[in-house]
Amino acid sequence: MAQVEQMLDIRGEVCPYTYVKARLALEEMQAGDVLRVWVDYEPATRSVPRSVAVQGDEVLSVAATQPGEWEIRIRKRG
Amino acid sequence: MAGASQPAGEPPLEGVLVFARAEFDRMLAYLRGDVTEERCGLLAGGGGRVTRVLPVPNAAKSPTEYRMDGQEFVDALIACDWEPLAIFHSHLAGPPLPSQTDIDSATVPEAVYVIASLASEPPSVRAFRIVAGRVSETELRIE
Repeated sequence: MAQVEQMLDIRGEVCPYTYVKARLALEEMQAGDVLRVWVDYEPATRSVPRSVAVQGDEVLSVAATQPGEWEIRIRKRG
Repeated sequence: MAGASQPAGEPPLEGVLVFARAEFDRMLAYLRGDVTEERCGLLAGGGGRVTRVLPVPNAAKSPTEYRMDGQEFVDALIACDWEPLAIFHSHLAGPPLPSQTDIDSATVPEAVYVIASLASEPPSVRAFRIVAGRVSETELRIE
């Protein structure tokens, strides 16, 4: 099955809602799929990766896309 | 737990995790509270010292695996400022060693993974770091 990449734009959200929305999106995805989370709340660049990692999903990257905005790529594990 | 020379098959020893006796006993009391399903949670702290035990319900409701989720998990993460010092869980019958499932799902290289085996009394407790599938043991110190 081909890997699916899904985009989640949660700019404007703050913790813990950034994590909660990312978690809900991951729950709808299949193992191996990649979620690209778009945030503009800087603490979320730490809280979202750490939270999903505790649950066993793989954080592929955290990168600034432009000033004040970041993309977090997460691969859902089986 | 392990000495300077490691027995064959034992993980190498790296680092120390320090508990106050009260926090260690609090963690064990919670883990002993259910012998039908694994229990789990987060440990808050810094500098290798545990300051708070944060139980989280096992969403997997399984005797052989654990998964943290829901509002209790979010609350525990917030209490850790989103950076848990350690992640703990019980093994009901197996040894206090990471199972293959534990290794595969260990995606926080900065955290210590504490495992308590309820197969013995008192429970046997060991701690590990798991980085990219490589397991090393962390010394547990109770003060």
